Amino acid sequence: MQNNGWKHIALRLVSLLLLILLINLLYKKFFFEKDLQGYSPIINLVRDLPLDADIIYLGESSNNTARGDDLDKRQISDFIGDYYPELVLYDLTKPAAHAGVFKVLLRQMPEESEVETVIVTLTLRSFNAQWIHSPLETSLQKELVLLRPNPPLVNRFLLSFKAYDIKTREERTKDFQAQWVRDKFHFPYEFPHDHVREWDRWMSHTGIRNDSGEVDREQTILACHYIKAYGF
Amino acid sequence: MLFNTIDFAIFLPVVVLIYYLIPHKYRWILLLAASYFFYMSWKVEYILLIVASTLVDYVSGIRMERLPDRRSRLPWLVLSLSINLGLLFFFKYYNFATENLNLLFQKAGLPTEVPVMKVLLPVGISFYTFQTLSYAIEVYFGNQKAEKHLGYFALYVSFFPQLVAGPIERYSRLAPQFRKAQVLNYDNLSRGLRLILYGLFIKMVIADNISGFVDQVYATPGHFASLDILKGICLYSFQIYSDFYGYSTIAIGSALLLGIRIMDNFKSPYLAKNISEFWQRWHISLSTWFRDYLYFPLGGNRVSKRRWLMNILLVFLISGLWHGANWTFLIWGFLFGLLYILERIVNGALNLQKEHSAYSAGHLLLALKTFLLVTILWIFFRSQSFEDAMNMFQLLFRNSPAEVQSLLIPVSTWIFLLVFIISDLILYNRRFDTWIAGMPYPVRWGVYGILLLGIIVFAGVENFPFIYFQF
Repeated sequence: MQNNGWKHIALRLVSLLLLILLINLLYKKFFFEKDLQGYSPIINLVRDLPLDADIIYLGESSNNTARGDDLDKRQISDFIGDYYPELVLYDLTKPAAHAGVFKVLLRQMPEESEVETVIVTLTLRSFNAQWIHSPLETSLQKELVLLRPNPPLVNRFLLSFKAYDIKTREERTKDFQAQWVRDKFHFPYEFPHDHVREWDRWMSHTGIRNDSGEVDREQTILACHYIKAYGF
Repeated sequence: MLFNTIDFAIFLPVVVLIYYLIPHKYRWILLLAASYFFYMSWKVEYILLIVASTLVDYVSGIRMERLPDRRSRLPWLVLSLSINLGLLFFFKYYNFATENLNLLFQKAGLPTEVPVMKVLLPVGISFYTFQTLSYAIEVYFGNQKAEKHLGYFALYVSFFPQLVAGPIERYSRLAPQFRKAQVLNYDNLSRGLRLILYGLFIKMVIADNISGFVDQVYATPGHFASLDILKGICLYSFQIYSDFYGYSTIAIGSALLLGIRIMDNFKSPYLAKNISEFWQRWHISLSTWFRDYLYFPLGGNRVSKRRWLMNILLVFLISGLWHGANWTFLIWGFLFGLLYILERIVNGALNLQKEHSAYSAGHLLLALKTFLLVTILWIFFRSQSFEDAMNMFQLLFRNSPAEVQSLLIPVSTWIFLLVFIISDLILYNRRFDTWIAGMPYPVRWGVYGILLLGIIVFAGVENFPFIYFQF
C-alpha cells in the first residue's frame, strides 16, 4: 500500500474510534441501565444490600429450606445472624449460583460498603459434574456478561456476540457425562468401579439387592444419587 | 462457530492477517486448515464426510477427464452422484423416508417396520454436496478441466466463508481465485468490512430481534388474536430474509477480505414483480444451480407445453425437498411451482408483461402482491407439519377468543425493521458496499454509526443459529 493509503486508513481508524466513543456515551446515558434490568437483574441483589452491613452471606438454594416438615423455616443466614446479634448481616441468595457467580457479585459491591466479613457457601454438591455442567449455566453466564470489569459498551458488545459459556442442554449433558469418566474415584479401600459411568452401568444391570436378593429400588436410586452428587 | 459470535470475530482477522503475511504458495494450506477448523467447531467427526466427498469428486474428476467421451465417463459421474447424494440421503432424508414407509406399511396392515436412526444432520451438507456435484457434472460434460491439485480442490469444497450455508459456488469462478496471488488491497478490505457490518446488522438486529416473536406465534398460535398471528406470519418473511441475506452478506464480505469474490445470493427479492423474478433474486446460487443442472437438462422450455409444466413442477418440488425432509417443504415447493406456472399463464393471456420502471406505483403494487404470495407460502415452510400450517390459516380467520396473549414487540424492533425495508428499497439492484462507497463522507459514517449502534446496543441476545444451517 502507498503512503496516502496508510493515511487514508489512519483517518478512518480515528473516525471509527470517535464513533465508538460517541456510541459508548449514548449507551451509558440512555440504554445501559435498561439492559442491566433486562439481562442482568442479578445486579439488584447487590444494589439492595445496605451500605452498613457488616456481614454478607452469599448463598444459593441451600440457604432456603425446601422441606415442608421443618419446624423453623428461616434461612441458614438468619441462624448465623442469631449468633451475632450485634452485627448487621444480610444475605445475597441466588439459586444455582456458585463461586464464579459470587466472585462477579462481590466485584459489584460499592466501595463505600462497610462489609468486613463475607460468608461464602460452597456446597460439596456444587463441585459435581452435573452441577458444573448444569443447563442453567448458560443463562447464569449470560446474566453476568454486563457485570464484567469492562466499559459498558464493551460488555454489551460481548453480550451481542455471545461471548460467554453458551451451550445447549445436549452439549452440557455430553460434558458432564465426559467428566463422569474423567473424574476417578479415590476410595481408601478396594472399589470395583473406576468412575461414575462404570458405577452407573453396573447399577443399571444389577442394582442394590435387599436381603432376599431382589432389587431395592429406593436404595438403588439413593445410592446412584449420592455417587453422582459426590463421587468426584 | 457462528458468524455473529466472538469466536468468529477473532478467527477471521487472525486468518486474514496470516493470509497476507505468508507467501502465496502456502496460502491454500492456511485456508484449508482454517476451513476444516471452522467446520470442526460444530462436530469434529463430520469433517470425515467432507473429506470423503472431496476425495470421491477429486478422483472422479481426474478419471473422467482421461476418458474420451461422455459415455465412458458416465460410470464415474454415477459414482460421484451416488456417493454424494447417498450421503445426503442418509443424513437428511433417511428418517423421513422410513417414517413414511412405516406409515405406509401400517396402513397396508403389514407388520414390517424399517428402523429409524438417530442421526444428526451435518451442518451445510446440502450446500457442499451441491457444490461438489456441480464440479463433477461440469467435468463430465467437458466444460471444466479436472483439478489435479488435491489441496486446491479440497479448498473449493470447504472454503469456510461459504461452507455451511453457501452461496453455492461454481468451480470455474472460485478455484482460479485461490490460485491467484492476492495482494492486500484497500478496496477489498473496505468493501469486505462494509459487507460484514451490514450483514451483521441485518442478522443480529433484524432477524434475531424478530425470531422470538415468530417462534411464539408458531409455537402456540391458538393463544394469539388473528392480528397478532398475521404479524407473526409477516415477520417471518422478514426474519428468514434478513437471517439468510445477513449470512450471505457476511460470507461475501469475509471472502472479500481474502481477495476472493463470491457471487451475490440476494437482490431485494421482496421487490420482485412476480414469482419468476422472485426466484431470480432469492437464494440466487441455488436457483441457478437448479436451472443449470436440473431444469436445462430436463429440456427447459424447449419442450412441449405439458412437459414444460412438468419440468417446472419437478424443479420446484426438488427445490422444496432440498430445504428439508418434511412434507411441508414439498408442499411449499409444489405451491411455488404452481404459482409460477399460473402467473406465467395469466400474464401471457392478459398481456401483463408490461415493464414498470423501478419504484413506480405499478412496480410497488406488484412487489406487494409478490410479497403477500410468498408470505403465505412461508407458512408451509415454517410450520412443523401440514396440519400446523392449515391450523395457522384457520386461526387467521377466526374470531379471537376472549383471553388472548399479546405479541408485545418493542418500538425499537419496528424502527429497525423500517430501516431495513428502506435500505432494501435503496439497494434495489445494488449492493451495500457499492452504494455506500458512492455516498459523501458524513453520510457514510452516519450509516456506519447507525449500523454499529444497532449491532452493539440493539442486537438480540438470545442465541438463534442461522435458519439455513438446518438445511
